[in-house]
Amino acid sequence: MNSKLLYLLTFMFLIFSLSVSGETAGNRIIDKKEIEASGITQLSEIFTLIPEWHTSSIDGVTWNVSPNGLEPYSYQRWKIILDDVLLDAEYWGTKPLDMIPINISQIDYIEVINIPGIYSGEFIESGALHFHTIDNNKKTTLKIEGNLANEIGDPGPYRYTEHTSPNVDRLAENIGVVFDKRINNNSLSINFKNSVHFPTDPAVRQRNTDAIDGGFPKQNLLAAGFKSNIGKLKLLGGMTSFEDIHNFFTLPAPQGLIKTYNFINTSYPINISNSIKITAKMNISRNAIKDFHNKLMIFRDQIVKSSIRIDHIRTKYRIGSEIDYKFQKHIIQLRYNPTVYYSNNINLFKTRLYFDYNLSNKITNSISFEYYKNHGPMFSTSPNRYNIKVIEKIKVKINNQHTLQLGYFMGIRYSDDINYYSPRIINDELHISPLIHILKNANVQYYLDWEFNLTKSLNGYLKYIYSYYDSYYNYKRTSSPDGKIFSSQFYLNYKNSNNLAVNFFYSLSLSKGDSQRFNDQRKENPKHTLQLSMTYEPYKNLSFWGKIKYTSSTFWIDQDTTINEMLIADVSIRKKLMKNKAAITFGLRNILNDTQRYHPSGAAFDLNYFVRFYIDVI
Amino acid sequence: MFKQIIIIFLLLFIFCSTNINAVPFDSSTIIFNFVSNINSNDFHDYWEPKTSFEFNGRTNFYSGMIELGIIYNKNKSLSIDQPDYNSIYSFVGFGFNYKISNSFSNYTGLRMGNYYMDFDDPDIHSELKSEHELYLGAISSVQYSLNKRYAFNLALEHCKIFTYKRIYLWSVSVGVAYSFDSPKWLKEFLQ
Repeated sequence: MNSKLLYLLTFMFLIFSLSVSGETAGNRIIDKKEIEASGITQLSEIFTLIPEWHTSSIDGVTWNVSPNGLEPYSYQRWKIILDDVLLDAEYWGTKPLDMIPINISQIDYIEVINIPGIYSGEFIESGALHFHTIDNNKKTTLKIEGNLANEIGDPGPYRYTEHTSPNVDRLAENIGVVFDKRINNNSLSINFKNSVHFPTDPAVRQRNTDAIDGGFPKQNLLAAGFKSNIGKLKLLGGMTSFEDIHNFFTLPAPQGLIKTYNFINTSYPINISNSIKITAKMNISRNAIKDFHNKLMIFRDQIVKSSIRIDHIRTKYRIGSEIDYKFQKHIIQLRYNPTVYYSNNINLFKTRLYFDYNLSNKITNSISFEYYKNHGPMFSTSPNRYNIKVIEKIKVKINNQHTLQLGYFMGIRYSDDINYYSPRIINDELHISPLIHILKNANVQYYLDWEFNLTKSLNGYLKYIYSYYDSYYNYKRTSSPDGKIFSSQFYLNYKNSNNLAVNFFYSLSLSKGDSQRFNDQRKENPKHTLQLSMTYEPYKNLSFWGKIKYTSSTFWIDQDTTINEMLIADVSIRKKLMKNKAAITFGLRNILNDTQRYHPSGAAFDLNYFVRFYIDVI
Repeated sequence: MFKQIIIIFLLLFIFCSTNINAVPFDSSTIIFNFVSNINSNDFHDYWEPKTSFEFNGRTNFYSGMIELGIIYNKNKSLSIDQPDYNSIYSFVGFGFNYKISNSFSNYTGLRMGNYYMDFDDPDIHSELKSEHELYLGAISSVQYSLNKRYAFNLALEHCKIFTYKRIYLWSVSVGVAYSFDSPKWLKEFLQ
């Protein structure tokens, strides 16, 4: 055991001697209180509150994640759901969370989905974040929020002396506005946000400067969203534009790109009877990527989805099905000949079924199933591919204190990989060529989840996950990464008379690969993760939040580099003002000033600090 | 140095936390000081900090006092290789106030904030013309009451600026403090 781990365990012992820890098991809820107390300044920082998901980032802006440590960072199978709407914002293997067009103050709670199942009609097999936004009850509200943040280590005035050092820039600055209006049963919420990200590491800054031909490498994000309820009709939509500097795994240097995401969703529920409910949904979205320099289109994905879901709920059982049709127009523009482009029309029919049955007062059995088939040419390859996914789980309520849940997920996939491209640089310009790649693979996950509520204030869970992959993901598509992963997680939550909450989390992740590639990829995930976080509210208008997290070292075969273990401690203080109409949060991150790095070629973060404000103007 | 100060401060915090009886925000003090740098180190080989001005406000907050303030300061270059630069410290602080006698009181506290630097350099990229850095300060001051409202203020401050090569400054400040019952709007704002 090394000194950092010992340091962390000692710290935890001290905390636990004063208190102990808790929260719900399996899928976790990150509530508004925790989000506010921690001083989260942008959506991507939410990952700092989810220790069970491993993270990697080159620029500290776009994060790749490994939910429950089960998948490699190059394969992003997890999903983003916003108010029951699945968002298709994906850009060549990345899902920039900040592109979701909502502001931090709009979040009511976030559901971290770790257990496979059907949620909001969507089949989730490898984790999801479900953002639930607030439905405002007041007539009219107008909120303004924002933050400033900075990292230590600038040269300051010494830049003009022999003691000069590389410039370390500020962290993201955000500003946002939310307007809500309610008239009788109808409501409208409109929001706007602007985030400006600055490179914080000299190496990243130089690469990003080169990517945009010597300009100042800011990553500017503009987003606007709306949510409206007109009677039972629900509308949700948004537009985001992000001047990003994208890191391709296969290119030595990042590229300046403009990513846009526009979507609109409508849903309408019909209650046929007390027990039968039908929900109809329609979703139109458009992802696009343009070249940063000449604004020419490189990639466009237009998706139209419609679905009908039927839920039949009785005391003894719950049964439901969803039929989903997706039309996807997938276009890649060839840069060296703008008149030539690859266009693919994909028609996808999905069928989902679930059946939950109470075998007794204590035992519930659930089965979920999804099947879908592609119709339509995929580049030059032939058409009709299929996917089958099954989840079976049994929940046993042993007594009021203990619940046991066990189940498995099995997925078989035979489909074209439309996200397989070959990026190349020709005459200093980025060119994307589509490549043919067929996925034929299988994944089986078994899990056992023991949830306990030992006392009113102490609860937690112990979870074991065993996952077997047969080529389920394929990092460079040149090998078949088969193997097994075993993950064990322990979580404890303690809440004391509503003013102290302590969470403790530990995970151990082990693997055994049938191929060298699998073993190499697994080394990018830390074997041990420990996190202790605490929220303390000594007074109604004042809260303290702290977190200390240990991750063991990781090894990155492609860069032949080891990232040392990290011990990262963050603290923040939040003071409410104007009788809760405003709040100001001060925070320090990485107060131990350990080397904080999430990718061998990525930015290293030193001690940094921020101030965040929020005000209810109306 | 700072570690020792923080340990002393934490002990002070634990000691004072047992005496939570004041009503938060019921009285306020505004202070105007002239600040003069008194130490000498590597920084002073290049710049001479000129007399600066401090303006801050304090109010009682449970067992202690919170403060919010700014210090404006001009740093004169000692060579043509370095430009002059202006700096503004903006900070929040927390500390404890002790009544030593009827006329004397002591305030000891910690400050945290932002150190803004604006360089007088026309050749630099506009995005780099100014910089921000974390600043931590420890202050101890003595106040001599002239009457119920006004007091003479003398303070000693040590601060650390977290540039890559850290800047350590000691300063002495003198000025006046004016105390008053917090107006209703201020109390409502802070509550």
